[in-house]
Amino acid sequence: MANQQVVAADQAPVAARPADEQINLKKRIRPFEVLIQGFLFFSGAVSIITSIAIVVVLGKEALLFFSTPTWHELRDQNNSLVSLATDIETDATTLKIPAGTEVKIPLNGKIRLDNEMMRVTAFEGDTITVERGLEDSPQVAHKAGAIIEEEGDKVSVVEFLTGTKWQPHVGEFGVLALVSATLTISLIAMAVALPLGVGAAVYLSEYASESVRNKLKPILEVLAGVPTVVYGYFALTFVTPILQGLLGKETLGIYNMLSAGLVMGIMILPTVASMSEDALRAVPRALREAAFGLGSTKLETSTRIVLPAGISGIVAAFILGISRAVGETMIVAIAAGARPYFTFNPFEAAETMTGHIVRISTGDLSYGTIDYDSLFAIGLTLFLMTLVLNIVSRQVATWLREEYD
Amino acid sequence: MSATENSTNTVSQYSQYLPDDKQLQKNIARRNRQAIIWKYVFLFSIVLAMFSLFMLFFSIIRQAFTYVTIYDQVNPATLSDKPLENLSQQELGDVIENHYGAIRTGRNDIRTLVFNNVLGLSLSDQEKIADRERAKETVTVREVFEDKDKKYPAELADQSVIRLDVVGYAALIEQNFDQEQLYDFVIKNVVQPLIVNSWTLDEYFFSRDKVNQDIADTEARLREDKKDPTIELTEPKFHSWVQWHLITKTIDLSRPEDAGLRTAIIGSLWMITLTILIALPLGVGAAIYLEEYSSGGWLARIIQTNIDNLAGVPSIIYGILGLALFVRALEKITSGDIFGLGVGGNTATGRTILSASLTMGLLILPVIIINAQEAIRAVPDSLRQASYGLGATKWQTVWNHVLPNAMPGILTGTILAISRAFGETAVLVVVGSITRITVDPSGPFSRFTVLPLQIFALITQPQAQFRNVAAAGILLLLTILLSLNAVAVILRSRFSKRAV
Amino acid sequence: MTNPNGTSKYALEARNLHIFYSSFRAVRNVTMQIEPNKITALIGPSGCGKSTLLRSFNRMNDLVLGSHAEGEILYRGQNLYGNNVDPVEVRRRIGMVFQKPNPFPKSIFDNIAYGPRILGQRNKKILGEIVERSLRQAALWDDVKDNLKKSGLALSGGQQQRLCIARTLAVEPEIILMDEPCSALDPIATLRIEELMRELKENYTIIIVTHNMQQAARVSDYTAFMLMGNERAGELIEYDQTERIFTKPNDSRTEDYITGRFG
Ligand SMILES: Nc1ncnc2c1ncn2[C@@H]1O[C@H](COP(=O)(O)OP(=O)(O)OP(=O)(O)O)[C@@H](O)[C@H]1O
Ligand SMILES: [Mg+2]
Repeated sequence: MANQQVVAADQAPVAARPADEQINLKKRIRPFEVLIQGFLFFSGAVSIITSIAIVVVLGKEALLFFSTPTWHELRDQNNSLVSLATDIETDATTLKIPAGTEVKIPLNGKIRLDNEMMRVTAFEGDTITVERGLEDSPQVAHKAGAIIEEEGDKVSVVEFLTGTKWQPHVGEFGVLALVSATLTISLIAMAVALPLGVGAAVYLSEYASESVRNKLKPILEVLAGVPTVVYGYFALTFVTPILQGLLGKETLGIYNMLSAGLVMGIMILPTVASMSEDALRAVPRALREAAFGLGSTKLETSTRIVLPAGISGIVAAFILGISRAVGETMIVAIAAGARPYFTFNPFEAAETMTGHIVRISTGDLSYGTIDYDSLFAIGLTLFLMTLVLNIVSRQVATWLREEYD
Repeated sequence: MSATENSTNTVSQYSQYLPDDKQLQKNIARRNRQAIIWKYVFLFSIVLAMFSLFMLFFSIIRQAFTYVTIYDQVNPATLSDKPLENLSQQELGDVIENHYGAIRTGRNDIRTLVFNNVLGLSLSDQEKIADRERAKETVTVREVFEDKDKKYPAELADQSVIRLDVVGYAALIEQNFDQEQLYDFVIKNVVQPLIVNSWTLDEYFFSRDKVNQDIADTEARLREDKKDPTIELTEPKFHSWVQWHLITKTIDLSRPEDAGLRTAIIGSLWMITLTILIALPLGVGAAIYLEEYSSGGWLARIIQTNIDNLAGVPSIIYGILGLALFVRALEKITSGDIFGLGVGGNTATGRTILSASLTMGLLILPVIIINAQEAIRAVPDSLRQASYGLGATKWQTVWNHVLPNAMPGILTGTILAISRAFGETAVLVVVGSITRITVDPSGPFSRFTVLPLQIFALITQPQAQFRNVAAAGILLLLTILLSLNAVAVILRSRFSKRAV
Repeated sequence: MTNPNGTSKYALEARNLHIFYSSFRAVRNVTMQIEPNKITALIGPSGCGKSTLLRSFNRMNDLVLGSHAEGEILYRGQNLYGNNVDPVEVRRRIGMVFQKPNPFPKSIFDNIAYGPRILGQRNKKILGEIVERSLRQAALWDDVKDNLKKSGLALSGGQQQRLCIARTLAVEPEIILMDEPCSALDPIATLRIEELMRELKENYTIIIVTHNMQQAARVSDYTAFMLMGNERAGELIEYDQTERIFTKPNDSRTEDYITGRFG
């Protein structure tokens, strides 16, 4: 009874609303909601801003790279370095080079000693007359023996893309020297990751029972979650010595592409395996039943029906794997060595694009030098390579979806 | 098999098109054999993957716990005629008085030890004392020691705490340490054992001869180097490189056995915290925008494609972006200059924690967004409709109903992103954290290093023992990451249970 | 019923057959004989174990984890569930057509050539003959003879199902099991498949599961009626010539079902 009364009392005000009450149903602006919406939109836009920033930054600085003249060491007729014969004072305008050296120095050309730039105004015998401290470079005294550098041409895009020598000190910037190592290591990595990854995927999706799969997959995830610096350690301190034991220390140095590539393959394996497994599991059960119904063995069903049906997913995994390999950094920085040579020999040490970026940025890199700018040109090349690979991979993956929906 | 024998006369419909029954029977045996062989080939792939993981861990553990030979830089036999561990407090004090400085430079070193180990003074406190002394004021032993509640000999009470001689400092140490602490002190600072060579566990167990040969070689080389034919290595023993001082000490690139990773760990923590503060709101915001606010038009599609593409950009590219954008272009902000907050001592540059966190934030943004989107999508529509039905606004619906329900999923994604950021090295190499730093970072504008980067620096040191330190550091790193992943797995499983 | 030399006059014979999914008994104690070169229909309400029974006839149930059978299925004197019986061999001799057409995502030619190929037939010319013969038998040849390279998925539903039948015929089975082969097809395509079945029974024994009473009455020679009994286990209620089942069934439950008073 008491309860009912309370309810009745509560209802009273509602019931008492006058029929002619004015109700406002007009649209109302809620400032807080608008503010929130603005922030949310901004959050979404950040990713676009990031992309634009990547393209602009890489593009702009890479342009700078292609418009900066290179410097290389001055060499005489015997191709040996030319250095200063005597000390020069802060404001002296003549330099001496060792007597009897024959060099070609263009008049009005620029030369560089340490970091000071000078313009050659006259050149006779072993005496060079210069204008000092060009372009605000620090005008300081130089010691005898300082190496003289001369200004060379700019690096053209064609030279950059087709050159096979990467020797900044002589003005050679051929990115193929770095790309060759990147490709070699990526190929080794894929040679490991593809067969093992697909094999593991077939096992997980076609053979393993649910409970076995549930146990194995987390372990694969652990493998995928190990930081790459640890893989680098593994390559350098474990895999390389074993390989050296197998192949001999003469064949295989401490730093080599083989070890880096093998370990990178292990690193990529979980990605390839899990993407391939997804692709295989997306193949309808009906196809397997049809194959078994015709008297196929498990192997025939897996390899002749399921694998071809899931092939686009596997190709996508493969391409994404390559893209990962191309962009992978720490393993190669630790285990592949620091030799930017054009080579496809896996037993040799060689520097990849990413490895080179790491090496030049761990040194003391001063802004505005051609080395600094080259970092962006390499970065841009790398970015474009991986972007294309990623887009192709995603496209291939959509083909799969279209097939069965 | 009777069926096979009989088949020829009963089955007339079998044509010439297929191999005859005998042949088929043979084929089937071969096919079944192949099926079994390949089953093992596939199994082998996954076993090999597991084996690699095992080997990976093994390769680290074998380097983190090693068999070592030690060379005592001062032979304990020359310090006392009794074994050191049997000496009394008094006698140990004498050893310090008489022998401290045989190798070390002497007074400055022992003073630092007193300040750090006995008094536990912070760097800034030590700085203050030095400043007062420079201003010709005498900071007495009494003042400092009473302040810290430590004992001191009366005769030293009025002397300047920074101008004592070795004997004085030795007395202070003797008064405040018990026998065990004194013994440790003598070993560390007088005997100064040095690990001169180390062998991995497997080398110890499987190539004993080589190890013994190595030990003899090491000893011979040491005798030659020091021109002292009496030098003897102490008994080789096992040494764990995983030690407490790994997280309490700073890096020391001259003595591997003393190198600690404190600066790097603190740097990692700062960086991760800041990264999350930056990336979490933006990531979840973007996910909410895409799932709840946008109407799936071209803009949303572009953003979505863009996020997918960003997820595939190599991390080193983000590093280059961070270098150009945050370190250089926004140097004024990221160095703290415009706030007047640039940390003194380190020349103000943009290579700060803030720059690194901003870069790392961009790097993990796609991971957070994609996971948050999935979590939000999994929230049933009925919930939203119920909320709208009660007259809630869009944001109220999102805040009160969608977000709380999507939270476990969002958290899982965030943890995964954190563990990615924790192990990320390449980005920070390029953004330029420094590896020799020993000053703990104190804020967003400090220069810093992080754990994986410090490990990278250790790996590239020429002295082999730093690889052992690196291995210990890796174990630390992996422990952190595995714990993070475990939390994520638990969260995810609870999440999926609730969703059912 | 077994000849002294081990063969039987029946194409298949189930004896006291029980089929389980883990511990759940889906089919209880079925005993029946399948006449050769006849069409046998399995009918009954949903979930009564028709598919389960049918799939046990060529051991397709093996693919379901935890499934097993008790009792015997005799095929030419041999127990299909006996030790040492290779399901791969069984399935070639006892083919299957599924409810939903499931051509492989390959060309029409490759779809049909798949079976002969795994059986070891590599000869291009012979494969071509097999493909033509199978497609003719399945009444699909005229529709597709000009583009055998076309993907099997590009055909209409009815054509796809005939392709699947042709694919089964290509491995020359003795018995063809069909699990609701027409349920995904329109009436015209259904009629064509039924016609096809009548042609095929000259050379093959066909067992078909169907929910369509008229279809069972139209095409089958024998009909088995199943029903869920105790503990949801399917049981064989009545098995006889189709005419009898549809005109004067022995069991009242059969009558209820076919007159639509039930399930
Ligand atoms: N893979 C399986 N695992 C466990 N139980 C199953 C499985 N397949 C079928 N069953 C069960 O076995 C029983 C018989 O199923 P079956 O598919 O044979 O019925 P059906 O007569 O073919 O039904 P429908 O007419 O709907 O196709 C059902 O209770 C079903 O739930
Ligand atoms: Mg069924």
